[in-house]
Amino acid sequence: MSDREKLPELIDRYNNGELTDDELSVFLEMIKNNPRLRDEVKLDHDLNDILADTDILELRKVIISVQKKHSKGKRPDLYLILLAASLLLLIGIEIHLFMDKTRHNPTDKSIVMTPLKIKVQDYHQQVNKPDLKMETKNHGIAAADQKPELKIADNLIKNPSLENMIGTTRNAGYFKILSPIGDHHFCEKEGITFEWTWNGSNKVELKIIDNKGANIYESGLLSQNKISIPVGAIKPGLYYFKILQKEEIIYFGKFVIE
Amino acid sequence: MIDFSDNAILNGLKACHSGSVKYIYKNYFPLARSFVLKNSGIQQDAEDVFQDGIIILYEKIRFGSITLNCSLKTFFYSICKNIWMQRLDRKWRLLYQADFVNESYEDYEPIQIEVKEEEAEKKRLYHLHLLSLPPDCQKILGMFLSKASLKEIAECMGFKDINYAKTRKYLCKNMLRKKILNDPQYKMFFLYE
Repeated sequence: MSDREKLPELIDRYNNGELTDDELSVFLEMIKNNPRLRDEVKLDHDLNDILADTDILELRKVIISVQKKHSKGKRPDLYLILLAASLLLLIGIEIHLFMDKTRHNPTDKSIVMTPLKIKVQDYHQQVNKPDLKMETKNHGIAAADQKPELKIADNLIKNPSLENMIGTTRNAGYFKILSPIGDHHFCEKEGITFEWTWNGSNKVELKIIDNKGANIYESGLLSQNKISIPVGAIKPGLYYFKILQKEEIIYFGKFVIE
Repeated sequence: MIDFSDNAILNGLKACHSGSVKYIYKNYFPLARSFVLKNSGIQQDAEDVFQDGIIILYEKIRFGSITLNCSLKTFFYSICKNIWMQRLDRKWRLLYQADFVNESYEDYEPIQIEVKEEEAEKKRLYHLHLLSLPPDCQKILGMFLSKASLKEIAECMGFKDINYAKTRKYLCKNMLRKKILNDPQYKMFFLYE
């Protein structure tokens, strides 16, 4: 065993007065030249004194235990704060989900209608008020777990190509449409009336096409500035119409039959 | 919480009863902590002062050197206050400003109680490092410090012979010394010597 390895033993034996004379003289010489060793010897001496008092060591353990328990006892405060924050978050999420659910899954008729109306309006704004069909499984008085379904019939879907044609053309001259204007909605049971002003020498004709471009109705040449389509002649849906003069379009419009 | 008489608390503390320590901690510590926190200290400083204060109080009880001329609460507060003032003076002499000591508790007039603050801190340091050793080392050193014989230690620990018990003792003691010597808090003792 080297001297270095023997040091712990020498320190201990030195402080316990167990070194032989020869060992003591060598060790004292080591201490003299080694401040670090000197510190260790001093510390060891202190340790022997202080740690020998085992009662105080036991009391220390008790104190530490009390302090730890107290700090643990304080933790629930932090836990309570975290719990409260979590609950608030959950409540917030729940409210959000409830609101969302209420919007999509109403449980009351009055609640049903408002969001649905909004949806209808939104939809109309989007499609320039074409007709639409809404179906709710419960016909307005939906159960909490039933979701209203908004179905848009194929005949209500806008035709982008035809949409681009809406308006008067350069051939229109003094032609002015009076009805239907814009995205006018007709009621199926009321009949449809077209009316315009036109001071041209040639007669015009009216053609109606559906949203897929198929011809639905042709009036032939018209001598008057007004024509009514009989009730029930055209089924509900989105339609486009064109006013022609010598087979040239002078006006292109659209309407919806509800 | 039930109120105990000062004598009951002192007797409980003399017997190292955790109930007494808990009572002092709950009822007396807040005041001491307040003082420490108001005077450049942090929570950990206050906890350290509390530990040292209890040990000093215990030693005074054990050696019969306690004479209560005031309530135990006042007495304990004065111990803690003295510990912290000495500690501030020793460690943070430059930071310590007596003018800023906020004595807002008029009922607690400081009482001059002799406290060996540095010794108290050394003890705490040694104890904490001893308690941080591996359990078998704690046990071996504990038995040695209780003056148990090598034979008894070898038997108790299941060592083959007393030489191995002796070697383990040296190793554990060496480990403890190294831990303490490398502790920055321990090094501070030498800065002011």
